[in-house]
Order: sequence, then structure tokens, then C-alpha cells
Amino acid sequence: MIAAGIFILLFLLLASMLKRRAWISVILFFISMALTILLFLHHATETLDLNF
Amino acid sequence: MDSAGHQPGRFRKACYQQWLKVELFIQHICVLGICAVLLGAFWIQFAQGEYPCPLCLLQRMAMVMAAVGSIFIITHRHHERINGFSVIGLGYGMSILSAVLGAIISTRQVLLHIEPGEQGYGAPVFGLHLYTWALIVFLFVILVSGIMLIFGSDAASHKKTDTQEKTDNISNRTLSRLPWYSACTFWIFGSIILVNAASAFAEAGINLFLPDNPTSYRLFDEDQDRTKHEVTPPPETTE
Repeated sequence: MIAAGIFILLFLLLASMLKRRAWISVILFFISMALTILLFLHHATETLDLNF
Repeated sequence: MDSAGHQPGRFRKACYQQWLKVELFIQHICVLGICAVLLGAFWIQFAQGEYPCPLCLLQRMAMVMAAVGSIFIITHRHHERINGFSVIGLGYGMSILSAVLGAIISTRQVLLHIEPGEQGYGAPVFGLHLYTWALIVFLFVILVSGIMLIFGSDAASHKKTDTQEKTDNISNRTLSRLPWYSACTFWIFGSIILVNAASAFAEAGINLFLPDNPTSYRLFDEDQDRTKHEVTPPPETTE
């Protein structure tokens, strides 16, 4: 549901751009980016067992 | 008139106008290119019956955000600056940040399956897995955004050069309507975002997070389980 919510947020971001609300767009962009990073951190729990 | 106070020549003005058209074309191509990649992912998901993993969906989100940067420039190209911030700086900055995030996510997935003998997640397309293609797309977005930041120009600044307009107050500018090709591009892009939202919701069901290795659409599975539970009579006890 969180993933679907982020996509809905991105749709709202697109709508705000079409309405030319510049600062709402920028704020929505940073909120969606923060949520995407948090969701990534939630899913990326395993440490990669790699040696370079 | 440029910063040194010289009047631009007719040839230079014509070059500006042509370059603005090329730039607008490149921005539309960026959005449509990402739409094509996402439609390809839909083909793999719906036609070939593969379920996108959480990292795949995160990469799709990053791709959408990368395209949003170009859309910002297209919709705000009649403004030179917004509260002191350059429009192309904001737009390409959004694209670069999203592409870097997407590249981190796809690199993580590439590294998860990099060990010899690993089959990878999903079937390869043209020899590479989808997350590897995603990494290439993100690197390409960073490259194009960097080039456009160097060579790109504000449409409004050229308008200002032509009309000797001095004000930067955006409220005084008339907002033009979007051309039909931009409107079509945005409708296609918006529909793709909504289909992604529906697909992510179907995959997660009523759970907050997606399963790590999805094998079905949990929303429909839960419905089927509930119906089965209602229809199936309780087992009879034998004596």
C-alpha cells in the first residue's frame, strides 16, 4: 500500500506541474523522494556478502 | 540584448529559436523514452506473467521522478526563474537526483545477483536483466541532464532578449496553454503512473509492504481465500 501511495503522490506531483504550482511541485518531489528512500531502506536489509 | 549590452544578430536569434525547439524535443523524448521503458516493464509483467519485486517498483518510482524533471521544465519554460531559482536548474536537478537514487537501487539489485551461478531475478531481455537495463537508463538520464545543463537555455531568457523585458516577476507573465503533443505526452505518462499504482496495490493487497519475492497478486489471493472460506463447508467429523 505504501508503494501504491507513492505512485499516487507522483501522480499528484504531475498534476501540480500541469497546474504550474512550482513550489507545490518541488515540495511534493522531495516528499516522494524521501518516501522512496525510506521504502528502499526498509527493503534493503540484507548485507551483500561481496568482496571487491 | 546580452549581458555585455550587445544586440544579438538575426542569425543568432534564429539559432536560439531553433535550439529552443530542439531542446523542447529532447525533453519530450526523455519523457516518452521513460514511458517506453515502463511500458516494456508492463509487457514483462502482464504478458509474460512476471511479478515485479519491491526493488523493481522502487526503480520504476525513480524513473517516474526522473521524467518529472523534464516535465517541470516543459510546463514552466515561460518563466526564467522561480523565486530566484533557475527553472532548468530545478528541472534537471530533480532528474539527476532521481536518477542517482535509481542508480543506487538498481546497483544494489545487480550486486544481489552478481555472484557466479546466480540466475538473476526474472527473464533477461536482450541479454540483460531488467535491473541492469534500469541502471543503464539512469546513467543515461544523468548524462543527458548534465549535457542539457551545460548547453540548455531558458526559453524565457531568450524571450527577454527579444522583447527587452526587464522584469522577473512571474505573476506578470501570461501562461500559455500546453501544445497538443505535450498534453498527449503527459496523459500517457499520467496513465502509466496510475497503472503502476494499481499494480502495486494489487501486489501488496491490504498489507503495508510488498513481499520480497512476490508470487501472486495478494489482493486477489486474499479475495479468493475469503470466498473459498465462505463457500467451503466445515469438514465433517467422522465417528
